[in-house]
Amino acid sequence: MKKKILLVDDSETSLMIERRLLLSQPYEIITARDGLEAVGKAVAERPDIILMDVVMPRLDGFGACRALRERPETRHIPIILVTTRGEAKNVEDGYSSGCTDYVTKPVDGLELMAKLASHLGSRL
Amino acid sequence: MKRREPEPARYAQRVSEEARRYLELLQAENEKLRALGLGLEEEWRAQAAETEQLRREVERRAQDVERLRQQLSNVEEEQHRVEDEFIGVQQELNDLASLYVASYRLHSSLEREEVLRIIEEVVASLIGCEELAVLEAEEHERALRLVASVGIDAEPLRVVPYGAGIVGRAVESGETWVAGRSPEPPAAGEEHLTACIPLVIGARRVGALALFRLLPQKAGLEPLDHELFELLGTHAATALYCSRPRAEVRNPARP
Repeated sequence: MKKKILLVDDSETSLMIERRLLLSQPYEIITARDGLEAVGKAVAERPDIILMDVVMPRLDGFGACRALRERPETRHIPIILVTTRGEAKNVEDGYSSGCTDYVTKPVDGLELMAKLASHLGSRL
Repeated sequence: MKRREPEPARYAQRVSEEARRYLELLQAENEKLRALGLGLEEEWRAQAAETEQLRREVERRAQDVERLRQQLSNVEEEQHRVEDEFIGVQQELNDLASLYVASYRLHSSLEREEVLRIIEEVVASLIGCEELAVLEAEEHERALRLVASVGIDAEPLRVVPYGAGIVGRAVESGETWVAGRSPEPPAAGEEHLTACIPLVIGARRVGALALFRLLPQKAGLEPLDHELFELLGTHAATALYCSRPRAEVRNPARP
């Protein structure tokens, strides 16, 4: 059975890049354009993992992370944050909001695939 | 009572008989030992032959082990080569995906604001730079006019005459400028410039894209970035150029 990935980003360009990078992998991809939509989709679709941007309108990645961790039906889902800045403070904020891991922009395809495979317990 | 001494003849005969019996016993023992010796020798020979056979077997097995070890090493080497090749192909696919997305996105709108936003997204998401300026050429004024900027003090770049500063010279020459390649003195506002990409369609100057500091986690420009510069040089130019008429219709004074 294909693993389901929820991609969350307000930038169509970023979403498209992530979709293209994961095209060769056996994943089912669903998308959301902001944190609020991501929480709704996560509850409804129960993805196996979430790849989420930090800076978004309505509800940012940190807020969405916290909301997902508060809900019993989504608190177990691994969340990888896509951060613009990889400095310690930013990473710390991500972890304290409940993210499982992070990648920095511009997203490296091989790194992203390795992290997804690692968190999904599958091989590349 | 005094003991009688045996007669010498009888005594000699008895001694002789005992000596003969003893000799016969010795001969029989000797025969047994000889047979035992022969048996042992035969056994030793058989064992020596077996030992030799085992030695040869061990030698053969050792050669097999060495051969298999060599084969394993070859297979491991081949596996590493295939893995490296896979990573290379995957990287190439990822790079192509990036170029495809950049090109697709740049041509996905004719709305000026949307085109500018897409240029910013491509530069931020694919190159890793969130400090940039987009300038448009005003051919009759022989100058560039700033149309969008992110993360910089845009004031010094509002109007850049052709040939002025790094940006003006890059547009005039039509050559992409990359920091560290040529020691050109920066003009005001160009201190943190990483690259300046002239936007051209054929011989027509459309504008320039000035990229300033890269994101902190990005150590420097990579081969893909240079391909993206090339792509942006023509595709962003076309996108910007094609969005101009609509912008002029909506705002005749300033597109």
